[in-house]
Amino acid sequence: MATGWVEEGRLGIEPEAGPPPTGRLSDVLYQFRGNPATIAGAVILGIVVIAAIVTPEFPPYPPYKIDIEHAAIGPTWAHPFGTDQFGHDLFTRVLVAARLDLFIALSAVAFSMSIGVALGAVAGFLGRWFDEAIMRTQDVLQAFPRFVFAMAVAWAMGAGVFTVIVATAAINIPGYARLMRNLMLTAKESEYALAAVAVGNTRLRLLWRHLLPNTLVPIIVVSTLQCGWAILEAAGLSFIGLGVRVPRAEWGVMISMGLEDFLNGHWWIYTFPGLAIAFTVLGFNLLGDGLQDILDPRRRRA
Amino acid sequence: MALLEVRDLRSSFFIRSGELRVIDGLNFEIDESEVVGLVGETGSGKSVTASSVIGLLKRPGRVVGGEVLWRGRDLRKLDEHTLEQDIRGKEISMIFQNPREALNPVIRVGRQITQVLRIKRGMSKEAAHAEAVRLLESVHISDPEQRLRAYPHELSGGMAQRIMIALALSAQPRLLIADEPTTGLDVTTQYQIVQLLRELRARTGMAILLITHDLALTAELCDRLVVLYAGRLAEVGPLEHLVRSPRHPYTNALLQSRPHVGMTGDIPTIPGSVADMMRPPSGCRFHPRCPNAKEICTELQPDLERMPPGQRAACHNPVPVQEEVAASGR
Amino acid sequence: MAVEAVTPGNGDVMFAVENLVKHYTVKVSAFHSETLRAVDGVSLGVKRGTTLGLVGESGSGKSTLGRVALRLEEPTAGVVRYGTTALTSLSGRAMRRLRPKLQMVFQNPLGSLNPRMTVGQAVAEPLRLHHIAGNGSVRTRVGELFERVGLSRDHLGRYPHQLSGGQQQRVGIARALASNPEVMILDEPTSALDVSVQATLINLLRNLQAELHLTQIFISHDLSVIGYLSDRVAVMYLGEIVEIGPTKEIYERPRHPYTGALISAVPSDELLDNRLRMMIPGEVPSPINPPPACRLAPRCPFAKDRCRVEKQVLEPVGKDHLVRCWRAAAGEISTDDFLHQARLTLEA
Repeated sequence: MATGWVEEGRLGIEPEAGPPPTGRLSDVLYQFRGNPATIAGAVILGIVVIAAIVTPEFPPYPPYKIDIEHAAIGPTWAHPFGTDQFGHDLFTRVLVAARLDLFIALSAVAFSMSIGVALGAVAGFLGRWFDEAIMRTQDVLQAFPRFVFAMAVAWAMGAGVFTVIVATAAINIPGYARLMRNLMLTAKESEYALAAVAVGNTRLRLLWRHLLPNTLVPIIVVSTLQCGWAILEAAGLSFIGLGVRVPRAEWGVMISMGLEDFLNGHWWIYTFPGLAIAFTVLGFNLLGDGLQDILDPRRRRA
Repeated sequence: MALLEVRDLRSSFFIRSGELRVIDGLNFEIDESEVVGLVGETGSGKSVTASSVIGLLKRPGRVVGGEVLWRGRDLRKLDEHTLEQDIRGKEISMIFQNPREALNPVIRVGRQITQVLRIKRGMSKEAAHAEAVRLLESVHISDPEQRLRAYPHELSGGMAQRIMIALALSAQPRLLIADEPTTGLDVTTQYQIVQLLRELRARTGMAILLITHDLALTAELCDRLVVLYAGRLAEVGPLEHLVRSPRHPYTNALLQSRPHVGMTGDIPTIPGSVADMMRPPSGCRFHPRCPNAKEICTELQPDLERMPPGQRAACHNPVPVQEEVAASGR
Repeated sequence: MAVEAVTPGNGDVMFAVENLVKHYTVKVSAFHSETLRAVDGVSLGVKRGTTLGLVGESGSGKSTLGRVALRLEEPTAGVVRYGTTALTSLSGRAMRRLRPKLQMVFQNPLGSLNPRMTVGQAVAEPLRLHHIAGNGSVRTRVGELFERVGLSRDHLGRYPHQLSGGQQQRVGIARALASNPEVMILDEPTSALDVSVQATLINLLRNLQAELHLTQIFISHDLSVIGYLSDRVAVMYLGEIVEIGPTKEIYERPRHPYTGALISAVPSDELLDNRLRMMIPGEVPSPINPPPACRLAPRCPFAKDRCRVEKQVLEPVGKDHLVRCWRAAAGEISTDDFLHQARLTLEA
């Protein structure tokens, strides 16, 4: 209950912290330059995105043409990643799959974020029994083992890309809801929220104009990291056959195809898609960490 | 030989826009058992001074020049290990503003204290615990055993600060640096802490460097004052002289700009705003805001000169001496 | 406690609270909650065009009182009056319609501004919400307000973090003035600022109050500032008013021991004089379980048995001057005793 004194600009602390973001591009780039992890993440994702955009339009080899004569060749100059048991060039397929995997991941994250954030915002803002009710539903949702849930969705909707997206999205909603709810609870108590009420805002306007813009930043950071997770989950679901079907170019499916051939010792068929997943997830993680540093006033570069 | 002698200390912050010269040539001394008040507002560099002296100034800040002589040894020349082992917490201790924030919120207070005692003084667990109890008693905390079991957030600000003081004093340092120790505490608690510091100093004979923006606080405790403005020394001397007859216009303005009961009219204020440390004013840094400014003030930084009634000030056109003070010869 | 008793002369009370109570429920463990009595039955009134200083330390409830008085938090009990209207009985909509007249300046200059709005937008918001100026003239009015509080129009497009603390607080003041309020509650508006910046802002507030004939409650723990700005002063301790009266009397002859301790801590004009501090031992207890009867009794150097068992009420000790202490009301203890106590402490 102590009276809150704010230390104003103790020079021993502020320059260390660096100014909060103004949103200007030069400012953003400056922060990027000082953060090797972020640069690495951006580069990695840049490669993946270029692969996703360019390769399906100009594939080095046809990704779906079966070519038994060239089946199961190990890595060579002609086929840097080798070929699978159907003769598909793996280098092509790994790069082409980037598009589908990115699409699945980004869609899943977009869905779960929008629904989760909406639920969490309502729960946090309205409080009382709304909060209780919404959070309990989230508890129930979170209680499901992920794959069981995905199987249920697959049973209802049939296997396929959309199933993977829905299953992945649904499982991640409670995380967002909880985060947003907590952020909203804090924001509600802040002094600027109080000031907004004093000045005459309605509750709705308070939520829309004041609280939401200020709570979205951590959500954005989390979403970047979530994209990495979503890829892993989508790959996992496809791997067990609930998602994309063979022979579509998608990393999870490609790994399962590789494992079918496991006993023949053709390690490259499952290894390279696996590495692609790891590479992409790493990119998202590094970028997400970097974003966190950039957006947190205390960790910014001065 | 003075206990602590700071000579031409310079520290800067290297940020995107360039170099902020937050301390630009600081000279002052602290003798044994003396209480010196380092007074300044935001941007004066007072907190950076403390960090610079004990080598705790973090990036992007860096000490760029000068000497910090502790009993004759230049602390700047010592390596981090020696500083940590021999000096910090042993010969020079420090307490800060917001004591509860200095403590780990998820570890009980008692454990944090005994940890420090065991590391710094090599005590056994039992000895450390007994010592912790004794320390709390030495700062008049009732029911010490109970308090040691508390978590930091369960303590009041005043109690937490007492504990930090006790901890800082546990190795019997010769100098205690107190950086805004009472800012944020209730008025009645502030004076309890001041009383405590006075008592401890009488008992142990240690010196204190009190860093604060609160002149009234310095009047309670300090023998001498060092007034900082924009990283440079404005005036330094015995408390009575500076308060009764300040020579530097900034010191004078600080003393004048406090409201009190029965005052009519506006409070005298200092026009303008704190110097921009990126592009500090030429010559004397205070000149844009100084009622006594002359042309030479814009060109030449004044040297620190001896002035009656008995202090040193860096000013080309100082405030006139208050005659009663000079006459009384104090 | 009737409001009349704590309001001078009864004439023209612009803003008043009656038996205002605010309790919070605090969860101590999974199955056990305690009541935090932040404000525990406070009545006071402010005459039109005057400033009431509300003084107290941590746990006193003064900031909570300010917020509840404007219904930024709902009171647990009690009434708040603006003129003849009982604010506490109004619907949300009706309350919002009155808000332009009842404004607040907050403690934390940076915290009270939305970090993602420019300061120009922040000050324009009340104008737009209440349709106080047409669209073209909103900009003009905001510019005028900026000038009035001493901010350059260059700052209009800046974000709060780009301004200094003093400037941020001026924005807060401009925002509060935008809707032409009659009543202003200022919650520690200068505590977070440097001494010299404080002085400038206090001068500004003083001049604004005189010029706009504002009715104010000025909340602070800084007695120098309160003494300078207020016509009357109310001292709070643990959710209750312990003394209320004209500023001069409170400062020159405090009657309640707690007031005595606070006043003795005010630096006088001559910093080096007045080294007499009346000390009250111990620390402020938590408002969760305040001491029964007199709340200061466990710490009070003048406490008697009666203090520990009998609930104390506000009693008159002078014109428009009330004290919550039977010994003070009976004349058993007074300022001289406080000074004596201080001398004893000094010698100890």
